[in-house]
Amino acid sequence: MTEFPKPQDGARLHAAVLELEILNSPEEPEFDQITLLASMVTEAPIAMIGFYDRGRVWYKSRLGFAAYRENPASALNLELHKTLVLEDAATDPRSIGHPMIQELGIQSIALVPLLGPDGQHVGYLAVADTKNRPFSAKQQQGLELLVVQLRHLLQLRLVRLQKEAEKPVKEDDLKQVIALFERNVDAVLIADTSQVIRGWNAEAADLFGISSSEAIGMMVHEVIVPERNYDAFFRLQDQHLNDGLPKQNFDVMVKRSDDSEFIATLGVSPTEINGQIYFIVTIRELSDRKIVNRELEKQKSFYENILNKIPTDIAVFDLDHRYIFVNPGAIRDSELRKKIIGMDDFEYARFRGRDESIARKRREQFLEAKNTGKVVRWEDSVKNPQGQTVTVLRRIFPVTNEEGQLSLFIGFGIDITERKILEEKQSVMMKQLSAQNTQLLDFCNIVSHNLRGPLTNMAMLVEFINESDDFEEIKLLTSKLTPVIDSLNTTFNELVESIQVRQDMEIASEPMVLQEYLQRTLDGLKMEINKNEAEIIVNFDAAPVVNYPPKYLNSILHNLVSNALKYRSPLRKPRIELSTRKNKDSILLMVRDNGLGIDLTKHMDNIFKIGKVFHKHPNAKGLGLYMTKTQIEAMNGKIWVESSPDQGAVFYVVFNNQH
Amino acid sequence: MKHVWLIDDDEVFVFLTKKLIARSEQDVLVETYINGQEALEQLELLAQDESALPDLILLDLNMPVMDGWEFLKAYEEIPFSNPKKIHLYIVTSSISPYEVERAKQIPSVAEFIVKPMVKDKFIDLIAAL
Repeated sequence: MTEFPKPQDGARLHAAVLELEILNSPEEPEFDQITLLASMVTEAPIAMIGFYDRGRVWYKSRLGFAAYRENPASALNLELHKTLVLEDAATDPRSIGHPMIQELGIQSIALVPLLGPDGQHVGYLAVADTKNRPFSAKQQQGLELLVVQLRHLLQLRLVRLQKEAEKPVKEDDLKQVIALFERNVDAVLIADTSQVIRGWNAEAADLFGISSSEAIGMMVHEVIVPERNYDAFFRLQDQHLNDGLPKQNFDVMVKRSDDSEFIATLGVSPTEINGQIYFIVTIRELSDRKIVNRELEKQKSFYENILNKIPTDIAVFDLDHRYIFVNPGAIRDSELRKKIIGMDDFEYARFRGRDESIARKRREQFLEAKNTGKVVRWEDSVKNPQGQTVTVLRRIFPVTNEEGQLSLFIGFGIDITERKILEEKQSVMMKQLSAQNTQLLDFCNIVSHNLRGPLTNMAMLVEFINESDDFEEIKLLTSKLTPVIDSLNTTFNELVESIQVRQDMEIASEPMVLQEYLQRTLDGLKMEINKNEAEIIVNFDAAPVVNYPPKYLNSILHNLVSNALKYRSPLRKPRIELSTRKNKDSILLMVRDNGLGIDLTKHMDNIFKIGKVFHKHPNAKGLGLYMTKTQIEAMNGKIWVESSPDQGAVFYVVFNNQH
Repeated sequence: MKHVWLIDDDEVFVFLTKKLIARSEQDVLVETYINGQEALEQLELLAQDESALPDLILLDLNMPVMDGWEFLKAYEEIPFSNPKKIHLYIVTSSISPYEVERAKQIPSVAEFIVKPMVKDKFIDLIAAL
């Protein structure tokens, strides 16, 4: 086996391989027996018989690597003149990086060239091992003897094939099939396993501008594929072969005889005729319209795919508010999603047996968008099946076509529940902060006016006393100290009480008979009442008992009655009316007087604040109403006043949680 | 002879301030008003009579009926014949930064003085007239 072939010429080599009629032929046991023998002789797990197929290698027989799917596989980077052994195939420059060597983990390989009838190197017999190893001279000799047998086998096979081909029946069957397709409405070509055109009907001649006599006998790709696309076309063929030759459509660029090109769908049906595989190929031109439609279809599914994956809910409506499209964000159930198309919200509500109120509301929003041509946005708050309130921000966009006319409407809904909850929390916190800030300002006020003022006075008095030698003056100065200290004491006690109210948030309520508690207050104010001949009118019949902390009720009643007495009008005898009213969960207490009244247009904001006094009155200190309000609000109640100057005043107090 | 008006409802403070003014040995005449309303009414009467107007006003903030702020609001609108004549000072026990800031916004307020006011401070105020 030491004949030296001429340098390989691609076209001639391929012609020589084709002459063997071996490429893409079915498995034959004779070839498999040779690979088995090769494996046994060399004790190698892998063996193969390969033929060159346009620069690649197609394996007629494969032993030990059925899992490797590529056939043909790329050829090794070598010119094979005689038996070649690569003991370290994984690193040898001639085989390094070869996909099959890598994938099968081949470490050593021995190849014996197979020469065709004209001396072309058409293929090889090879054995391979997954470990580094030598192949002995005897083993190599055995392989070479097997290649001699292989040559004989190929020759015998050719003779047999020629004899079979000569049988007239064979070609008759093929001719019948060709005749069958001659008058087909589509262009049809029939090719054999070597991709040689055997049939070419009139439509094909018309489509490609090539007559059947020109086309028959040529390779398929030579006739219909632009040369630059040969490789792509071969890959397609290989893939088809690897997939087991299914019936399949291929969209490929093809050319006419004048070299004009068009895209065609090749419908390939592999068909067995008398034991031989033939490809019946229908060729349909893909018209522009079809291409456009196909592209549109692709785009449509592309956008629908996106819309379907967006978590936002999206719906598209026509001009009559009927659904054209909804995504799974809007309706999860795919059956319902199909059902709603063509319905409007009213029909859908009836279909689902739901209340129409939502549909009515949505129709209003829709009509607004339709009439104004502008985006309409609103918030929907609904309870979900778990009972949580879900807030959805909805928008409906009118969409106009190229002529500027309304064509459809797109509706979006975004779940803003979490944002909403956050906003509400923030709003509550803002209120708390603002209330705390007011309290701080109030506190600053108390410190400034009710504590710091008297303290400053005391300091100055003491300083004057220290500097004075005059006994009478010292006596006078000392006498001025007493009222300052008294006022400081009162303020201090009230302040402590107010801080306690803020601290005992959970002070206990008890059922209190109002009449009894009022009596205690009146007893305490007996002197004032008698001195001013005040008239007290009480009617607690509507709600005689309140649930309240005794300490607070005492303080509230005392402050309101003593206020009414304190700010009496000098023009008339004081008259104070106290009454109650029962509401669902609360009791309203009203205290009406005929005193000086308060100018609410001036004092509305300040009336219950610390240190605010509205009367030119010696005992006006302004802490009483502030205390009352603090206690009432601590019990979640309310207090307000209605009054105008010289018209008297009515104080209203709401006691909450009265069941 | 300078005219000094004290507008303050705190009897003890008024007593002490008068004593302090006497000790400062300045040539002054002191008048007191126990709230903004009374002082305002008097000012409106005297607005055109330059010689009768005070040279110095010491104004408290926290007072009944009309407090210092309400007084200042009305004061700004009085059409004085010589508005530059009166030097007005707030004298208060307040230490609220908010009130200090608010006073700065009012052009007629010369200074915000926190009680107690000492003798030397009063002498300075008279000297500045």
